[in-house]
Amino acid sequence: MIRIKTINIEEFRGIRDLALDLGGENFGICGPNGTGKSGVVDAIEFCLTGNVTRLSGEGQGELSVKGHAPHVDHRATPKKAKVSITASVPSLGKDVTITRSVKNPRAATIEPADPKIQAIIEELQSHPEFALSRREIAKYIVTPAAQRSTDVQTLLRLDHIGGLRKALVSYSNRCKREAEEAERARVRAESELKTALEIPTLDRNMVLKKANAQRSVLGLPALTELTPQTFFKEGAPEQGKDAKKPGVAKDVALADLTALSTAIHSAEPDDLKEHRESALASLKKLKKDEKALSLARAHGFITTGLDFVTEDACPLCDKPWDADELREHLRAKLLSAEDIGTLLEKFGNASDVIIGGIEARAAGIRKAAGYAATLDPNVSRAELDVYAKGLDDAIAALKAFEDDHSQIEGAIAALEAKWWEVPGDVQARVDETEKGVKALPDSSAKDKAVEFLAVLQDRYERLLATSKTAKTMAARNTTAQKVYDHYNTVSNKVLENIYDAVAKAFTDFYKAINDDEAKFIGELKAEPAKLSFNVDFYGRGTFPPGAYHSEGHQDGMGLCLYLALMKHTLGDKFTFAVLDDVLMSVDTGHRREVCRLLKTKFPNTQFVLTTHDRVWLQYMKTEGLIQNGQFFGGWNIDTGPRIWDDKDIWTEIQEALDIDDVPRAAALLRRYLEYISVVLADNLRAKVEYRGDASYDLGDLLPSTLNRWKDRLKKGIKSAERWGHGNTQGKLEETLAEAEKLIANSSAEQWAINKSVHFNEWENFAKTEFKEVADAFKALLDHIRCQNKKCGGYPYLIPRKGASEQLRCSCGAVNVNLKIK
Amino acid sequence: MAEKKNDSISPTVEKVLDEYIAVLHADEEIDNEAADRLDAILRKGMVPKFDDIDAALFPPPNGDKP
Repeated sequence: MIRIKTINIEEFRGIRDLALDLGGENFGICGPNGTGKSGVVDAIEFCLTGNVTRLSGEGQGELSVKGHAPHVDHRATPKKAKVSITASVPSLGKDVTITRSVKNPRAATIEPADPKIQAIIEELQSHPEFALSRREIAKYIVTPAAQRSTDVQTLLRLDHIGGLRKALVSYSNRCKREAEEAERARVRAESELKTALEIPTLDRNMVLKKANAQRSVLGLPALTELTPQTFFKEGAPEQGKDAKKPGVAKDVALADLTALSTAIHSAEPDDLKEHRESALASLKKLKKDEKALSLARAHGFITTGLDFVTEDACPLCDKPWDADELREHLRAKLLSAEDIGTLLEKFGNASDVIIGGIEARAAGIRKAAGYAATLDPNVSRAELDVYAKGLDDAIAALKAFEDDHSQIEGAIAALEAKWWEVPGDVQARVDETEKGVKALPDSSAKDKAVEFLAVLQDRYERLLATSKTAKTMAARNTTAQKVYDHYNTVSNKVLENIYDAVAKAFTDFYKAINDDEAKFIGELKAEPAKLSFNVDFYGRGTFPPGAYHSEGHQDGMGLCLYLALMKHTLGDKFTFAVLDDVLMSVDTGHRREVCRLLKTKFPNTQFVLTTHDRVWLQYMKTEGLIQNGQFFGGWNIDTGPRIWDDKDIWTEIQEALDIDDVPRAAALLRRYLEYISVVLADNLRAKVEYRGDASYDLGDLLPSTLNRWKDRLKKGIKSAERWGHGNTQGKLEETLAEAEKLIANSSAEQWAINKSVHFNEWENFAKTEFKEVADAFKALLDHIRCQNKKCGGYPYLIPRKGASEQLRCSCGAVNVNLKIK
Repeated sequence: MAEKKNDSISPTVEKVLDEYIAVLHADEEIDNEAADRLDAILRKGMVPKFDDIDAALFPPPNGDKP
């Protein structure tokens, strides 16, 4: 990631020509609404990614980057709309200049053309989340759980994990299906071999006995063992008189036809019936639930719909509904995911057996059709083929439902059809075929033996082949299931750890900005296709963030969750973020803590912060979050933002004195002291006379604040003395003495209390007289401020309520123990 | 495992795949070479198709290769 040094924007959005110098540090942009602040954010996003979310994101309809990113006067000349950013790349120790024009948003000019730098810019493009706007906070907080799952997974770059899971489950499902098909083929082959041998169970000795009986008729030696290479016909003459047109093996054919007739005339086998009824019941239950034939498909949609019901209206068509009533209505349409899963599993198990039964019947019918066609005169096979085709269609319908649950009607029809009972015309053709075969002249004993051995060889080889395939498929299925199960277990464990880590970081961040919620916890819980997010509400339980917390708190949570996610996703690479008006939405009472959070928890991240609240910007400065900023004082279509520099107040006062403008210098000092008194009074919990209108002037705040400063130092001295920390005590005594001297030098009480003086007197001072006053206040405030240049913050008391325990600054250089032994 | 680092997959995906290959290797019923071939295709940053996975786990014998 990068740290931005400068930004140059030309003819982009509402900006005509603007240069900002960030110096690679945190930077604040402040100005009233409509002055162009967000234009800068858009420019940064555009330069780094080629995109502007505000113009191309969800719900932006007809807006586009090419059409609407240029300044309105340059819509026809998009090449004039361009943004250039110079930045440092900390990981490489190099600088880079990126320039991008709206004319060709996809092509950025990157100098130097270093592949490593190029890779980093490409990574930025894949992380447009570095820019967070206030409205996007909702994406992480009040969004439906299903959408949150998608958004968070996208941010965490976890979508690929889901993609791999789908690929592996799809692979294992297909392997399972193919293994089942292969096993069914093996069972059929075994059944046909048994039919030909007229034996109830397959037994090696029995097979050899039957084969050798026929071989002895032909005067051939007996076979002694049964192996895959066994050739039953070894030494036998060619089958029949005309080897090219083998006849029907009468005995085998009769056995096949008898087996078929027996099956047709018998009642549906109990096992098959039970599975068929079970499968049918499952499908009917699915269908019955408010025509939920598409329930499996629509389940996610309805669940999302439930999440979207926040008002008394349908979230889809705006039709007025009582929210609770609508929720009940939707719930009534839903079977729980668990129920659906159980029903589908039941169906899957039963379907396998049913398909096996139908396939066996189809194979028997096809065999009969083959015999029918061979007879002379032949028996019409058309009816048999039509029936067999119907059985194939039934199998296809059951398989189609497994692949697409909306195909429920076909599956129900297949299960309801009495395929076990054959139509009259089919029965007639089977009977005619059986009769025809019976009428065939008996072959000689030797011909019979040859025919028998030929059929035996054919069916034995088929059984060997189907057994081999079934075994291979079963082994593949076992591996596929393991491969998927392992992936599922591992990825779930990793995701759970990630969510736990993110939830913990979120909790820490949120507690850091809300010191009245010490027991606060946040929970991220992954459920199928959704990510639940619940937070503690003052120890009364955990609830969705939108349930009880104020909008300000929710926005604070959004920021914290965003920071936790970015920290987890990018780790050390989280060196840059744009927070567009985000802090504004945080509760006023927690802004200082937010500044400290960003400063202390993300010391290596460059934040670009926009706000329309100048006081907020001052908070950022006094807390040391930002050193520099830019004020946007106004905007018009011809000139773009009107800016003025936010220079250091003392420099600004000096510049006014340099041109003998004492009144301006006095006004600046006055305004700054008013502001800083508020900050210090708050930091030090100064004892100020309460005013219902909260209108405190300098006289109300400054003396109390300075007294409080001295008082806290005295308490620190007392504590150090009690604990026996002599060195600390000595240093604090020196600080207190200095404080008293500087307060006296500034005559703070005089200026603050005497309204007639502080309103008028400074303005009438000579330049040198006022300079003395300003220098005295500067020295006083510098004395209070942390001396570490990287911190420079004003000390504050912790905790924020109750007895003060510690006086400290953000970096810890000021750290005064106030607990008395 | 040989080409573990792939810029097209996120660190999180890489973590999942690192743990995954370790589990596959620990499973005595799964051939290590097959596991490595599967690992390689999962790290390509693309979602593999049925045939890709099948070829990784059950490559055709040498003689069957085109």
